[in-house]
Amino acid sequence: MACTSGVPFSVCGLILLAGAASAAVIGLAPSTSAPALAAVAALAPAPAPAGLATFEVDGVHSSAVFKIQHAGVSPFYGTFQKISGSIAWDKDNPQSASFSVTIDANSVASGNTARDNHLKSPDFFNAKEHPTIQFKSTSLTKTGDSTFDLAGEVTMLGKTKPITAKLVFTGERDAGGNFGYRAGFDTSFTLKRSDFGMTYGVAQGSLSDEVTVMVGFAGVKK
Amino acid sequence: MDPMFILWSVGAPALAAFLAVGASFLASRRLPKSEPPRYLWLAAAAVGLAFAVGSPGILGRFPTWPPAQAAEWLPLLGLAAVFLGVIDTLVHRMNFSWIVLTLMLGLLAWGTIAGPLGSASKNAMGEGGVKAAWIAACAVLIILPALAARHGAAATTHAGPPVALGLLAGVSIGAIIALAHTAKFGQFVSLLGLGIAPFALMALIRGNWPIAPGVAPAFAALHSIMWLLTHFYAPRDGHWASTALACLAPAGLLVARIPALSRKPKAAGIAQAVACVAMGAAAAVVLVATAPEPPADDDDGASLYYGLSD
Repeated sequence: MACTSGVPFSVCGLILLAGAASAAVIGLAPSTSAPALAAVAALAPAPAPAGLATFEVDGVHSSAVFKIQHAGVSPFYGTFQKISGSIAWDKDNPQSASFSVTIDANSVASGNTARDNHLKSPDFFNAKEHPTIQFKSTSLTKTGDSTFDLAGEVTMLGKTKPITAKLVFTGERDAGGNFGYRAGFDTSFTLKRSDFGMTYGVAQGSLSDEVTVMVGFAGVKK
Repeated sequence: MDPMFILWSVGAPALAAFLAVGASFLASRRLPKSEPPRYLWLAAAAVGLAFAVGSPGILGRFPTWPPAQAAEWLPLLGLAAVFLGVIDTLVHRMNFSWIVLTLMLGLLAWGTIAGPLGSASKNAMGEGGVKAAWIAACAVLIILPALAARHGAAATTHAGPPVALGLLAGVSIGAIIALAHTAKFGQFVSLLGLGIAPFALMALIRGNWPIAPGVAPAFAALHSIMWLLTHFYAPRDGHWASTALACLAPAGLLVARIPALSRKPKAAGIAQAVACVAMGAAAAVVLVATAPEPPADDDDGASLYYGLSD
């Protein structure tokens, strides 16, 4: 385990030394006492809650769409063609869920080749330098029967910012055949792209700063 | 168009450059012509100053630390160019000062831009593309001091070289940017134009006003860094064309060596400017003509996209 930044190196070193010494003592002792075992157990990572299953995002049956206002008047929609990630989900205990979704910035598509190239350039997604856009959840709060507030962090253009998305759990079942056991989710959130350093067209008023992102995704149980 | 955008990305850098050159010009009127050009240290700061002052306007905000994108290093490299120009002017008589300083800035650009971009581009460009990019980056570090030497030596005698260099940069980099599909870098290059503009004006008012020696290395360094950045984003087909363009810059100054012009500084300056513009225009035509053709089935109205001219 790496030392947390901000903790003096010497303190980290002492903690690591103490940990190593404790482990050596436990390993050499002919019979380990119950309190010692309990202490070791307390240091071990918490086991995954029963029922929490891991799902792999089905990129072929998932969609990421963004909406931006163009020229100050009209909404414009674009998409990302490649999504991947993983979900830890238990519908009986949704608060324990976690989501990790990655979008390939090079897969941005707007129905116009020249615009797609421009969107991949440093003016927008800077896809050569920052090829992925990532979301990692931090907490899930139930707001209705199947609706939640999903808090997490979006990393784009090398910057990480917190966001809160509206998440709808759209169901889970064994879809049979190649589809397997899967769960579905629909989410949307709004972000300010200037927070990530994407400012093209903001000052000129040609493109809005606020972008609404909608992601509908399916997870296949591993 | 937002007036604040124009103010910060055009007005402020132009004002900074004109104030630096104007103050330097007024100070120079009181000094004898035999005075060495090192008193022009303030004018030498103009190019870097315009670049550093205008960068936040183009980025849309003041840069944060640490920079998350290669372009966010540019304001800091602008400040480094101020240092480069001033120091090179003050110690111009010392041999090789320009070599040391331009190499320092080159290495800084290498560390901040070329390295991270090279590794980040691996996915998008593949091994072959990255290798070509590294070769090109090395070429830049050779071209950069060569540019500085060529222009720095000529700049102390007449006004033509910086003007010619500015015009060349405007035309040539503009053509490359069209291939790289980015307007941001075009706006950054326009800052170089704004930084060099006061010298063009001075060339019209007083052709024999000595340009600070540090102007050329500072300009060449920033020009090369912009070229390097654009190179990483341009399609692979544009690599050799952009390298050829960068090499054309010092060649433009050879016009001044024509015997008929060698004793006429004003005429030589104009001839250099014309030669550089002609070369830049020719290169732009070649670049556009050799640009990769869109796929035959690309009938999605690509030509109707006007995003880059917003």
